Amino acid sequence: MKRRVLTFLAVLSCGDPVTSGQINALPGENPNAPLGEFHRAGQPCVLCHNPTGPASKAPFSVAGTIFAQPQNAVGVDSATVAMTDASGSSFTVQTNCVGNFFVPRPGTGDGRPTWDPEFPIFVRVFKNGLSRTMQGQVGRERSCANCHNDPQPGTEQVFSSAGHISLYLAADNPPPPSSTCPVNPVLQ
Amino acid sequence: MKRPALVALLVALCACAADLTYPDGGTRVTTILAPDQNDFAQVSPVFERRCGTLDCHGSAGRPLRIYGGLGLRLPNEAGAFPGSGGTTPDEITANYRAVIGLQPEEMTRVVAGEDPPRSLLILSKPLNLESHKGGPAFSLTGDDGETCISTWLTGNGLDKASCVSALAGF
Repeated sequence: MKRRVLTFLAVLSCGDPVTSGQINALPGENPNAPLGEFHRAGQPCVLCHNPTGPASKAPFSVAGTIFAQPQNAVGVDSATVAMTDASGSSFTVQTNCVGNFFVPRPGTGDGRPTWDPEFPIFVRVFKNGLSRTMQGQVGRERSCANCHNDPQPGTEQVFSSAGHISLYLAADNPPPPSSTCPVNPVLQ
Repeated sequence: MKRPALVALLVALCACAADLTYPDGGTRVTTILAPDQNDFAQVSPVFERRCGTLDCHGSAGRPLRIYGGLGLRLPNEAGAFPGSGGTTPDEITANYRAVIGLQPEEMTRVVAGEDPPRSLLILSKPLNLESHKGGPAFSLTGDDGETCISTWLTGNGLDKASCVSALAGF
């Protein structure tokens, strides 16, 4: 009986087991990238940054990371992410020096502009005259990295991943990453 | 429950289970009416672009799994991954099977003309007539995606123009 009560309490304390499982499967925090706008680049931000998640104090409508090239994961700073939703509403946001960008939900921002898009949304990323447009639409996923990730080669996941978002092509010669960023923008 | 009663119950359950096995080795066939498979090659892009993004039905973990060149790829040795190359014939076949296999009996009634196309989940969900986690994917009135799928289902002449225009902007 005691055991059943403990199990019940444990289940209650974990909240949604699906979300908990997804969060637990993520790489942990990098000690060199403390909590804040530069942490967990390339990870699915809205798993935690949602109204019922562990980062519910800062919920996002959409968030992700823009990297330089397909073959490496170097964050691109000051890229503009332009989004248009199904109702025609548009929103633009700039990446920070590790390539992270995020759109706060209405009523919860820290003074930054907020947006509550009506899905699907259409996305374009540009910087210094170079522009990349997402070929399809975002159906309902708020974390770019949920689809744009880098699975291990040779696994089944390669058939369901679009790879990380990259502004430049493999053959391009992108500008160097930010040298003044408080967190190293080079992931790999 | 006492032990003899428990044993009796287990025996009874085993007997029931035995009754459910098929004497011919388990093969059962449900005959259904299905819409035209050749025409589906022109309908598949509507499912791919409007329903099959990687975050929706282009996900291996969801029902009505849709493959496509820009979305989930059928495991292959050719190196095709999301965003590389067009949808393959095998992927179109897999999409056809996913669509007709979702509600085979109900689809039979629609193809036979007994029920309207909107009675199927493949339309009632994107039209948001039925609860849909992805919300409305088609407009309730005049959506070319619905026209394309409906004319394919009813077999009265696929509206190919609608199948093309349904992709505009997607």
